[in-house]
Amino acid sequence: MDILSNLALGFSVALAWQNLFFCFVGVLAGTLVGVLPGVGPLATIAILLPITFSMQPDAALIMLAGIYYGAQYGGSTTAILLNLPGEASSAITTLDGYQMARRGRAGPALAAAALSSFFAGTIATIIIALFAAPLAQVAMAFRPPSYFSMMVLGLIASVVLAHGSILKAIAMVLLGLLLGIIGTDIYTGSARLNMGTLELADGVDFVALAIGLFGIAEILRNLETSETREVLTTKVKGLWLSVADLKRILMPSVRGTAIGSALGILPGGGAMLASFAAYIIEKKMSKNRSEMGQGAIEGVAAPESANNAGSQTAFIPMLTLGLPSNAVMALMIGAMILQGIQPGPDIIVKQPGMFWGLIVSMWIGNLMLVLLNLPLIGLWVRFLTVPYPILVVAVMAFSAVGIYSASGTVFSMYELSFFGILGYVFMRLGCEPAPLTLGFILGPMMEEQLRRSMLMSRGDPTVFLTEPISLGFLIVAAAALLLITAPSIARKREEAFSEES
Amino acid sequence: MKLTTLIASASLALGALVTSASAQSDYPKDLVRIVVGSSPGGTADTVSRLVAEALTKKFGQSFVVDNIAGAGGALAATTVKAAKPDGYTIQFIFSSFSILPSLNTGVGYDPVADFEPITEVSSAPNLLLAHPSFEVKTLAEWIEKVKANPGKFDYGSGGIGYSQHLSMEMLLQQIDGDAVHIPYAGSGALLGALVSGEVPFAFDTLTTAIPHIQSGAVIPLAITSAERSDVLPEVPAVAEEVPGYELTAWNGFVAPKGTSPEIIKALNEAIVEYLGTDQAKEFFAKLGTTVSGSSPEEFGALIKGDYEKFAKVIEQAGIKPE
Repeated sequence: MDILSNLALGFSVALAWQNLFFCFVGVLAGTLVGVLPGVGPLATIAILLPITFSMQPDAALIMLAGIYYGAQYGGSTTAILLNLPGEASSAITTLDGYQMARRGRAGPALAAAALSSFFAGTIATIIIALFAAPLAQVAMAFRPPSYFSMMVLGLIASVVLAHGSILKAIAMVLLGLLLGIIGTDIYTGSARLNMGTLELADGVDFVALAIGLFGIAEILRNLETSETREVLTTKVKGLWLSVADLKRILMPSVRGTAIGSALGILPGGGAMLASFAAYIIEKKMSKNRSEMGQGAIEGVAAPESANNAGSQTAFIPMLTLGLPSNAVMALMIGAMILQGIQPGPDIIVKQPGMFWGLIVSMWIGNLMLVLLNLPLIGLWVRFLTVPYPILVVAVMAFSAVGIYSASGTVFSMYELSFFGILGYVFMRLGCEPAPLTLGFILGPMMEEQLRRSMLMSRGDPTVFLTEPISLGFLIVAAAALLLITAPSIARKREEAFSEES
Repeated sequence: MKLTTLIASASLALGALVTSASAQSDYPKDLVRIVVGSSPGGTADTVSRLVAEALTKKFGQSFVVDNIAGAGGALAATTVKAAKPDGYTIQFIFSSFSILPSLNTGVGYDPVADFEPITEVSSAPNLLLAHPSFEVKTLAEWIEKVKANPGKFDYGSGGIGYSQHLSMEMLLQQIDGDAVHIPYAGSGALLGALVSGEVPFAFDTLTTAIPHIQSGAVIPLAITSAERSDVLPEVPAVAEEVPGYELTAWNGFVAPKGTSPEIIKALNEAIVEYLGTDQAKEFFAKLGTTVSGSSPEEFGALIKGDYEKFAKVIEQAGIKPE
């Protein structure tokens, strides 16, 4: 068996003591930056990059990779405890995670996040080891029309995110799409809706938007009256998962891992889209879907497994083809070049030790992460007993510093404040920020792929139907649209009939 | 903090009174900010951090990289333009610095009038790459095929106004050809599109292209530097077929207009000295770029030359935001 000897080689590299050490340093740093709102793995890897020049190539890459997937673990912590997405990809975890915390189930929520992430990490590692090369070819077959049609499906499905009024959810998706338009049009270079400021030329800062809408808005709501600070007053019941909980997170983790692994391979979307997609699917498929949004453990397990799987399969195009699927991977390629390694299709042949060592280290890193995170749960939960005035100030300061350190502009502080207040207004109006967030992410991607498709087809819209992958997505999208509208049409008819009789 | 400021100002006053020491000898007395117009990570940021480290060692004062990403680097340029010209704010710039103002008059700076050049740091050529399915092996074949089919083929770039885009526009203008520009969101996405054959050809940087050339995923047709490169000696220069064609992507340091010549000189000497070290040479060789420390005057001429050259290319190609 080739794969066995390859894995043996991988283990021999990954278990070398200095590689184990740097793997640990990486996942620890990743967990920390994941916990800190605003500071992302991208900035962390960038800042640590010069340090890696003097390291062995294997150790350097193992450490940098650890930061990346480690951040996916840490990101869920503040999302669950404080409704504050520590990482962009954990924004959706706030929906059920924070509700669990409010019900005194912060411990099980954190444990579910860690365990489902570990499960996803393990499966994704196996997928990379077995199918990296053929999967990369699948990613290459995706053309602009296919991407566009996939996003159409995503947009239609996003309505499912609403657990209140569908009309309000659609309005929020549209508002998200509009916010996504702000910035420079990549096809003409024109600045759109930037109000004459250079700061908005690259669009609205997603991290400021997510932290403002979710985290700051929640703090503002809590400040209204002292009685509503349930997170802090409710007695924390149990830290660990019951057998029933474990049963409930199994299938969501499997589905989340599958979606995350698939989306992670595709350039651009990656972990962030995966967490949204997994949540949406869970909301349609789960037995306990009626509880979703009110503290269902499935709503934590699905997105957390998806973002972790996605962040790992994102390595596939880079490892097999030398092509970056996101900014972090582009940095990793930069790190390889500076180590004198040319990332490319022949890296498996030329650097088998590094290739398999990195893959095996991902699994070891995931194991370290779960061992690191489970004992920390008790500590994290105790954070909620910190007196609220102190906690609020600390959280606000950390968010502000994190965002400022990534952007370096005062303008990002205005953005954070603006979205914090906007989020509070939305809360009072009963509008949920999750559909807006998805619209904001999907909008620019959709526009980019739509216009690229149209440019390449010289304005012929039939490309969306003649490209097989694209056609497939459109058919599913049409079916989804029917499924969503049919019940409400049926209900309307029922109402109409009942009025008649 | 207050105490150090007091001491610093006292020593400054003393210095002015007692000796007429040149500005250079007591510069820098404080932290120096290197503004970089891109996010952390990526080549520009990495290069600036290495130079910052070297300058910190040399001067015994911290040189700190301050990433002000946004608007393709314009945000950093306007920040530096508005900074006090006292040598404590300098900027690490790259080619787009002298391209942006021609693309968009709203960027709010003039690359020549608002800055003092310090030195160029490194430069790298672009390669004209074709997907094997395009079925051309040489630049001459490519020119023939593109000219015979005006407007039929697509070409990619990392974004509007990127050197990959302008390399192609310049070439198309000189051979009187026409192809449709498909901008991608960054160089990584462009490379993906090129390797998968989504676009049949494009210009891209030498460094990132090499592994894909070796694997046969893309075919190198020509290089944009005036001469062939040592890294790929078998690839001809575009100029061999299209005389006078030359384009390189460069980077370097500038300071706000009005920074004293002594400070510019001190920084220039320190950076050029660092670029001459084996460590620097080895680093830039790995990146596939050429170290090119120059005098402030030479760098100024390069910025001005590119500014004028690209203004013409952009005007002729009709690239204007609405």
